[in-house]
Amino acid sequence: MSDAVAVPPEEVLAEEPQVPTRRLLVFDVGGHGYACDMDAFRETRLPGAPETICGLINLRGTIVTVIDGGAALGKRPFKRAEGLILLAEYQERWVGIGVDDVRDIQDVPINLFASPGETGISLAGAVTGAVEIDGERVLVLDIKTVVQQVIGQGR
Amino acid sequence: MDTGRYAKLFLSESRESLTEINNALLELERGGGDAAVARLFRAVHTMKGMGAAMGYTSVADLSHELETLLDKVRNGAIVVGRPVIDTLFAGVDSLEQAVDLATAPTPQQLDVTKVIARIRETASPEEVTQTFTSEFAIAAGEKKMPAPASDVPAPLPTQKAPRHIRIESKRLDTLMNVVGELVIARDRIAKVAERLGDDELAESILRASQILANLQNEIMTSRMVPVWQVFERFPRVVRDTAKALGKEVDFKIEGREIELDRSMLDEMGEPVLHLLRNSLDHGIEAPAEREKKGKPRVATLILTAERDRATVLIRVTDDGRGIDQTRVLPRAKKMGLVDKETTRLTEQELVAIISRPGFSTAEKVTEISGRGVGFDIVANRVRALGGSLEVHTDAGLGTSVSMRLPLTLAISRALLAKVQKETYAIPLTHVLETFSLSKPMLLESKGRLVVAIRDDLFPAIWLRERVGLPPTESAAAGQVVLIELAERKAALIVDEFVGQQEIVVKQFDGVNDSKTLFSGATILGDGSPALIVDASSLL
Repeated sequence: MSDAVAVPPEEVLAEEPQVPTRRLLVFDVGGHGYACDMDAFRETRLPGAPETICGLINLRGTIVTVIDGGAALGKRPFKRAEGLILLAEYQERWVGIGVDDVRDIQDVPINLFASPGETGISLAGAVTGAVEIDGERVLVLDIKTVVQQVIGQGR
Repeated sequence: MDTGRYAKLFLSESRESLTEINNALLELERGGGDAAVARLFRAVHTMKGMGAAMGYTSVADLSHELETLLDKVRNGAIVVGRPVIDTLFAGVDSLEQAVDLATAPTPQQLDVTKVIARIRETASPEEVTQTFTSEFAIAAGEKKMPAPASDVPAPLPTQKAPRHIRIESKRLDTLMNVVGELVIARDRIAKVAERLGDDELAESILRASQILANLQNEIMTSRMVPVWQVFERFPRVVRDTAKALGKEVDFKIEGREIELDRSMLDEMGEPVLHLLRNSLDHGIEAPAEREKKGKPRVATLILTAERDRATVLIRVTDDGRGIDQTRVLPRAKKMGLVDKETTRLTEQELVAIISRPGFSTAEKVTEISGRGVGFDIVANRVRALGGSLEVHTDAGLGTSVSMRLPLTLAISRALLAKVQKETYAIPLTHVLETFSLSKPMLLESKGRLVVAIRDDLFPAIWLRERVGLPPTESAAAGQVVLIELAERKAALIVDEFVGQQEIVVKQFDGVNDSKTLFSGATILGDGSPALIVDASSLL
């Protein structure tokens, strides 16, 4: 998993599936891709935590705290039933980030990166730049900073 | 003390050290320089400590001489050359023999006088040199073994010593996790079997469960380590601290063979150290003051480990001045911690007060235990570990502080309880009893809701409320868990009980209040995480 994940500044509506689908969580470990059914991730609410945290999941015996990507960025909370959880490595452990959808993986020439300007995102240092992808301005996030800002030291 | 068992451990660890010594020596011979000397010094130093701890004088004495020689090499008093290298090799060979003999079925001490003479000679190059042939004799008095001729290694003891291997503790944690997963998988299979109603399948699962229980038990046992592994560094610290404070102390350790889970042992060292320093600094008086009071000049400080059911008691007892109520009270009143009319504090009140951050009656800030910090740190650590703290003090006679800790941080028994649709785990160490809540039990006292159980009243705490859920329509419905921590009790009200279960405790990343509300999380039979309620945050 790369450190930076591109998130569109505008909300993207999930497409209505035409054939029955299984919603999978796809992730990468040690250079191999894995996928599991989202059902396997029963989320537990975490009382006492701010709304930027959506809860805990059990990832193969490890308890992973999941950040609400929407709430953290000051957008609408991510939809648990439709969303996906990205896993980021943070201080030698996993932290989940709930997002509405994952679109694409792209190689972007570094000269296309521009200063983000005013983003309206309150997490200090979370936005490191902006790029135009298919005519759409996309903000570049530093995931470690996002996690750091939301979770802090954690345990 | 079960010396036989420690002899085995000593054997396995000294083998490691000897390997390290030999490798470092070879490196030195190849021109390894200062780095090799430093490495060698460390390894020999370790051997010396282990030998001395076991009472193997030959090993300790020989290591000591080698250390002296190496020290001279290290500070440049001696130049490393052939004679030094040869002497070191001869010394290490003897060390190996000394270890073998000391740990043989009939332990003996190798006669090390000759080799020590040679080491000393090398260490003092100005003295006349004399050729030395390595000859080793067995100390007289004990059962005699034929002295091996030079260059022929001593026969190894025939009985095979059990081998020890060192495993990174992380691996044992992983094993625990995997077994935890297996338990969950087993529960799922059991559910399916129940649905299918197949007797043979049910029986197979039962057998598998027994094996699983054995496996879990074995892994737990393999994680247990004796407390001395942490305690052994304390005598030195106590000695140095006492010296710095100008106090005379006889330090004793009792129950060093008591075993604790590695996870707990790693965590309890710091609080114990704090308590020892507190005793030395604030409890124990200066020798002159003690004599004036008619006390023995040398104070006694005892560190005890004791097993009590599923908990371990770690106690620090001193015969110092005790905690002076007449000094605690005015400060507590000034800080508004107790009523102005209070004339006497119970021991529980005393603990509660001195556990407060920043509370101290020490007149001066010292380097050793600072001002007021220490006790509150200890109290916090112990609470975080799921334990409790008890203090007994007699003014003028001494103080005894006990930490009661669970045996392990990794596994505990818990009561699973539900509020709304959420399941929470309540550690059984804090659960006294459970009741069904009925309307007559719920009373109001001093403007607070309390639960009457038999003739006692306990403050009512709704778990719902604590976890941010809306209250139920009928307050007098649900189940009551009577919880206790450090002799404070409360009635925790939940919707329903799911049952008791052995849970594998896991850490998670919490934010804000979730960190204090819960001491960890566990995974339920259906695979979902459940939070473990921290009783200390409720009371």
